[in-house]
Amino acid sequence: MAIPLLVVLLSLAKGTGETWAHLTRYFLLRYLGNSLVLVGGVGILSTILGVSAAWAVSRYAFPGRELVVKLLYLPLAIPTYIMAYAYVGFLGNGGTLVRIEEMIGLSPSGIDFMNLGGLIWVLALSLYPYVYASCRVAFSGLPASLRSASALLGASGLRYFFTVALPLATPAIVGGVFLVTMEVLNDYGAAKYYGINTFTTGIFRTWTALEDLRSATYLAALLILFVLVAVYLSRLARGRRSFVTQSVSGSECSARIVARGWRQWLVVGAVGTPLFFGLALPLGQLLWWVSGEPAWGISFSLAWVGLQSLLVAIAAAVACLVLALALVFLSRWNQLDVLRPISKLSVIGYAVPGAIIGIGTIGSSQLIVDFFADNYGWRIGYLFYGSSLVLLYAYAFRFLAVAYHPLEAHCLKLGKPLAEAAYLLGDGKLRALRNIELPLLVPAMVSALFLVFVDTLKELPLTLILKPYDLNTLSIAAYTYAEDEQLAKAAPPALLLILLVAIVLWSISFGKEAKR
Amino acid sequence: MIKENDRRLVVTTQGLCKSYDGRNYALRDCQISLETGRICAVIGPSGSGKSTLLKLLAGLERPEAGSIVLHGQTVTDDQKCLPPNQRGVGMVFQDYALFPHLNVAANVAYGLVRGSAEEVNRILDLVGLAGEEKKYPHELSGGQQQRVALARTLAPRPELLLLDEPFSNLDASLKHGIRQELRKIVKELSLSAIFITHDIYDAMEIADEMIFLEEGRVIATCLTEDLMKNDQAPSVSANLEQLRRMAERVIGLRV
Repeated sequence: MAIPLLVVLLSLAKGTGETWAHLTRYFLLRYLGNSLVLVGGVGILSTILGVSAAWAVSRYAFPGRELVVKLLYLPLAIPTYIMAYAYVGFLGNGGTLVRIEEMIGLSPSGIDFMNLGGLIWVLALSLYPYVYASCRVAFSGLPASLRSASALLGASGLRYFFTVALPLATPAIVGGVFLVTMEVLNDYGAAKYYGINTFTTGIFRTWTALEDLRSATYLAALLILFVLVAVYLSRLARGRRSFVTQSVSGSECSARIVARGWRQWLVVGAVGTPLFFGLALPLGQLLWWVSGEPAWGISFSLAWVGLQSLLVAIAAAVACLVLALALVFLSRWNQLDVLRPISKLSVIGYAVPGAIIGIGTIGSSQLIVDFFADNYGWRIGYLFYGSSLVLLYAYAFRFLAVAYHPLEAHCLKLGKPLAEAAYLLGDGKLRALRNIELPLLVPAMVSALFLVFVDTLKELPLTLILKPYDLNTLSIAAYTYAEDEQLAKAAPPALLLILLVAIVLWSISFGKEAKR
Repeated sequence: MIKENDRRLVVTTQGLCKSYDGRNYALRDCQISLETGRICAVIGPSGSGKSTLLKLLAGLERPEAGSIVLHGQTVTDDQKCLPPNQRGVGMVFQDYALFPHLNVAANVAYGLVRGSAEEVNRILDLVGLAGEEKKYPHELSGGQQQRVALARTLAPRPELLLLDEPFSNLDASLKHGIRQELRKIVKELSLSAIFITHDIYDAMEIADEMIFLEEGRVIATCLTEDLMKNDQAPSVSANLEQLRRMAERVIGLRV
């Protein structure tokens, strides 16, 4: 599974292509600088949005809280590139805001949003739910006794937040920001549309415009080093301290309180800001565009593109699930030490941007095609280039971790006694798997399927690089129209994509809230 | 009638009632009193209202009815309910509630406005944890964690100490030693203490007096020395019925 990654890393030894000198002279520092600023800026802003929203819903009771808790996940349903298009459509010259201002007699503002600051804003609004989700679990799980002890020792609510709750949520914040960082490095559509040079846009540009695959692969290898530094820093952030709160069985979590006075406005701001700017405004803009589209354009071609997206996403989800199950059970059955690092290596694909996997897959495909052509005279390029199977393989590498981790966690929770009881009662391993273990894993399997389905639907750079010629997905359709400055036409596929993802996310969050 | 300025009593309650759902009462018409410098054990099975009583005394919950007077000042009645940090009360929680991200010294200093290292070390020395300042809670044993929790509670010098099942998480072999140490510390500092337990032996070993709770009501109170004089000592698995019969024999109260 790790072949695409290894191919990219091996390129470091092979050297660069003919345009490398041009890249290092004019672009490399800009790629590095912009990528660092993006990662830092989006990390900070998404932390502020995610942590404050999570604290507001965990600590305070207010009308409509149950609905708000679920709605705060939904900006994740809006891909970053679609969020970017929507904001330009709203704020740009001739955009919706200008029209509103003209209607009410104000002079048009025409905000220049297509810059690094604008990109940081839209990426943070789209990705803060990663931080929100992990912090919500952390804050909700704090024992009531910690708050009580803190109050008895004279600490105000604010002091408790900054000296106890926030530090204890550090692993959750670091975990959430790590996911945000990976998504920022993976982003192509938004950065390309805003004209910001990042590593990912540089990889694409070097490969497509400069036609230098070797230099593009070298850039991808440098980006992997960037990712490894991010992984190392996230591990380092934990240090020697423990963040595990001791609890006795039956100890309750803090009851929510009603916010009064200035706290009320803080709560409104904490949940209202991401909901308005991350959900209401972009959805409103997309719906405004759709309202102007002819109905036939929405119904026929959109349905076909939607069907293709569904089929690809379902195929990727099933492939990842089967592979993840195989990994989990082979590790459990065989207890071979060599399988553990292989398992870990197989699931790092999620940390690797889609563009790298795409480039690596092309590189590895080329190696295989050249090998058979040189040694056997076989022409098997048609099996690899523009093949649906290769796209599925790349999706499996990218999203295997998404399916693997919930399954592994659930298996660890179940433990081995149930399967061992089945063995002792005469079942073989496969029979015990079919009759005992798989039925118990159904919730984790459904969760894994849903998560891979959502990620595949939204994925853009990998799909752009490897898609078969005649395949069109909702993400590509939205991207293609936007690149052609047909933002209104991009709205229907964007909205359908958001709707499909939102349904799945809503189901997942509904299930989590029901358990809680 | 409670006299507000009666300072021989560190705590008195009258008519305390608490319900969490408006129908079922966790505590009903609870009336207790404790003299300064005494240790009281509140004994009862799960669901008898012990934890609720402690939370009301600490100001962590507000009663539906009744009043609480601490150190001669009304802290809870129909009109007001002073917040926990203004009651001069400290509490050791059943799960210790140590802040896992702070080391021992930082945990102990948390409640001090201007905590000096000397003061922290003095308190750690008192509880037998000198030299452990830099360790984190997860690096300590259960008994050591309880001492840190006690040290943190004692640091702001509360006048009334509340302890929620202080010995329930400890191995049986440690309990006797820690019970004696706790009593020694409380008496040395001239504190008053109320602790809740379901184990009669905790009470008999360190409390000066006992209160028995059942279904939210005080069903009996007695002095430990009176109970100890009784020839028939309770068995290890003494249940509430036996305790009630004991209370009847000791103080002549029919319940």
